[in-house]
Amino acid sequence: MLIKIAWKNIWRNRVRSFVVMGAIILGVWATIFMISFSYGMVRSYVDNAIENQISHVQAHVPDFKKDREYQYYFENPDRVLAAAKKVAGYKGATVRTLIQGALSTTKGMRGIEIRGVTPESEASVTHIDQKVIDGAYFQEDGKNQCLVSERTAKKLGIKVRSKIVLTFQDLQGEVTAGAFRVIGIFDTGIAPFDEGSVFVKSVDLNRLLGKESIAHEMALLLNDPRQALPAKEYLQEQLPEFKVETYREISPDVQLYESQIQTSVTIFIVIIMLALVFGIINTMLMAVLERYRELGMLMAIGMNKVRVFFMIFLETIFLALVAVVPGLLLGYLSVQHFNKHGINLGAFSRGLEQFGMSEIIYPTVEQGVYVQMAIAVAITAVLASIYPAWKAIKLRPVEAIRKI
Amino acid sequence: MLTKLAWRNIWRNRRRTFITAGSVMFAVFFSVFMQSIQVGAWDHMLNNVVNFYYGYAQINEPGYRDDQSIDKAFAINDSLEALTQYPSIQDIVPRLESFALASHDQHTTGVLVVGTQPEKEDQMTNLSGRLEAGQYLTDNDQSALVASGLAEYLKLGLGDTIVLISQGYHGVNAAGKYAIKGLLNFGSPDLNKRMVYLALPEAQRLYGAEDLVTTVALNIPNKEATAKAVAVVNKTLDKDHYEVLDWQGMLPDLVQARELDTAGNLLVLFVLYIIIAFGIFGTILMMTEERAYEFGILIAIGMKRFKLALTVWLETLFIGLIGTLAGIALSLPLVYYFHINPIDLSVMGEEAVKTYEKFGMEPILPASLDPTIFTSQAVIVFLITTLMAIYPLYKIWKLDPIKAMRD
Repeated sequence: MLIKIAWKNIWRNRVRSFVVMGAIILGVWATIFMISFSYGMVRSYVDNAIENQISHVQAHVPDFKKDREYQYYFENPDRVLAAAKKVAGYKGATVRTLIQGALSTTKGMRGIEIRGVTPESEASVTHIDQKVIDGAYFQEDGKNQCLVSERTAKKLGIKVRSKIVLTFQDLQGEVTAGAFRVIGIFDTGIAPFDEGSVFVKSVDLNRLLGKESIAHEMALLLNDPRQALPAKEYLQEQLPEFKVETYREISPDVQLYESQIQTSVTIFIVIIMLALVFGIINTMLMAVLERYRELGMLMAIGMNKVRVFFMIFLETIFLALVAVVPGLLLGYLSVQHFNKHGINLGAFSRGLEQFGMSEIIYPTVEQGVYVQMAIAVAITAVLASIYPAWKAIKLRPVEAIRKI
Repeated sequence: MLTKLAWRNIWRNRRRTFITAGSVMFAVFFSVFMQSIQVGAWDHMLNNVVNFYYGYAQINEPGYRDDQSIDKAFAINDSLEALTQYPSIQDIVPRLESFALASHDQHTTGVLVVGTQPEKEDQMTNLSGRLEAGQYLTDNDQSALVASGLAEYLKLGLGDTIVLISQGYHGVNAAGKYAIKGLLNFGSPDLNKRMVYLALPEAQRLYGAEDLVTTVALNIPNKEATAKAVAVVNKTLDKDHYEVLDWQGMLPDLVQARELDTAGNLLVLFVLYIIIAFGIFGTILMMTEERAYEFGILIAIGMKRFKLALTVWLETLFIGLIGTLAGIALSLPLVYYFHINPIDLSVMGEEAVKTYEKFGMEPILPASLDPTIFTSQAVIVFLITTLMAIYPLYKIWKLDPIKAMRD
């Protein structure tokens, strides 16, 4: 009975109800979309980092992470690769020799990390072969080939077939240098990585370092990021003298992004809901005040205070719930649409690269967000109904009827 | 008269006025706070990079930005010296900049070597103020200052020797040994990892570039004077030989990253304001509806519809402005507090610090007191209320006094 009255009451002043509902619909819709957009950006960042740089699991000599220095290498990398191949969910694995050095051309010099890679397995893990935008990927024959990033190439005037010199310390700590021929120019879209990396074949680099079959890093790509933790545990057991880490440990920013997104989502929901509270209170208060006479009459003929309170409370809840459905639906549809087509932020591509994100963002949300939103709106409505409802039961029937 | 009428009208229903103004206050408070932190953080970061090293504008040989080769060095001549006679350019700071491989003991890394005139550099970037240990350079010094992050990596201390190997002017070999005279601490993690300072003559000797410089930084008194200074240079110098870039031109990535971040924030504020606008509209709607009778009488006794509409618009404007002022008043102490005591993100743990470092930022967020942040809120509220006032305007225009009075 009370439910029916409350339901009918909210349709007595349609325009007013629609204004509040409009605010709620818009709030829910915008919130969902913003959340999905932030999620999309984080996903883009994490995926980019995993795909181009860090993979899912890495193994190093324990001290390597501290200094990234040449002496923290391991021998017989094939043994490590063989262990990686047995991991559940294995998709690809590779080993790299990583050396800090300098790249120089006739035009100048740059500090850089030299990544000595095995062409085939590197391509299977980071797909760097698909990121070559000019020239070609490593060829079978031919000594001392290298791949330079577009950013570095531009700054140092390097073209395909140019010759560059890489200077670094060999395993004895002596400064040594090697001339390399640029065979291709790559662009991963991650500015800091591109500016700081040059790719060579590990055979060439190892020869210059003075020891064959060594590496500094083993990177493992899995079918599913969720397999990273078991994979790490398995590998750590197999390779006790190594330090095995998942992408979250390797790149703490990934973990930070993932945890921070939840915080910012919550903050955002709270702010929008607070804004909605004002609108709802204002409207419901109006509704109560202009019905003073009517409410007074209801109480005079015997409707008790609990019921009056409850009626106003129900009206508010209905108002919110009616609005939440289209809001969620609009949110869902727009997320679906943009998830399929992506949002092109080409205008900001340099800024995005600075943050290591792609130009095209695919908004995405976890299903839980819809439930969270519905709950948040319900809580908002409950909170917003208290004041008007309290106002309603405070009125004195006799005075209320007499008024006006 | 109308103002007075409007002012009295809004106090006829105090509660409604307070709630509506309250919603505006909330929106203004929040957006002021959010914008001041955002603007402050970016200003802080850009200032770190711009003030501590680049300067607001630089002169190079054309194409130097894309191809930072020491072969693009040039000599200081009279036309460059003459720039200082313009009020927007306090001084010119000649520098010879190039990359080198720095090593000490078993460690080697790439660094940026800056040869500069110590005194002029200090006047512009207050370099000596960045000294963490040791002493500042003198004009003909033969020792080096290194950034503390770099010193840590190379395990260098005061008095140790750093070896610099590079390629000099027109391909000559460049190698030199320098004692460490001082350690510099840069706010920007990026600079802190790779800066080495030499006195200009010593750097010219190292690179075999006698009397040549790659860059002339302009000492400009403040950011606002940058455009003027750039214009002066463009007017007086030969464009075939010199190119002047302001800091936005030197750091396009950062400028765009800032734009992106700003755009995201504006979107959030936009949504917030729209929701608040719905609330304001609700108030206006009720105001118009419940006063139909009153409006009818006013029009019947001869009040111009235009004046009536103006009164209603003034009413909403007053409510909006009360909210805006209250919001600004509320946010001001908080913003001021965070301006003096910046939010320190290092309490969030080492991961946060590392992440910010990765993007070249200090984990510190000072709030900005830029007055435009405050004034823009007032403008937004003004626009919203004006837009909303279209509804009562329309209603008043269509109002039939006889019908309205009868209901």
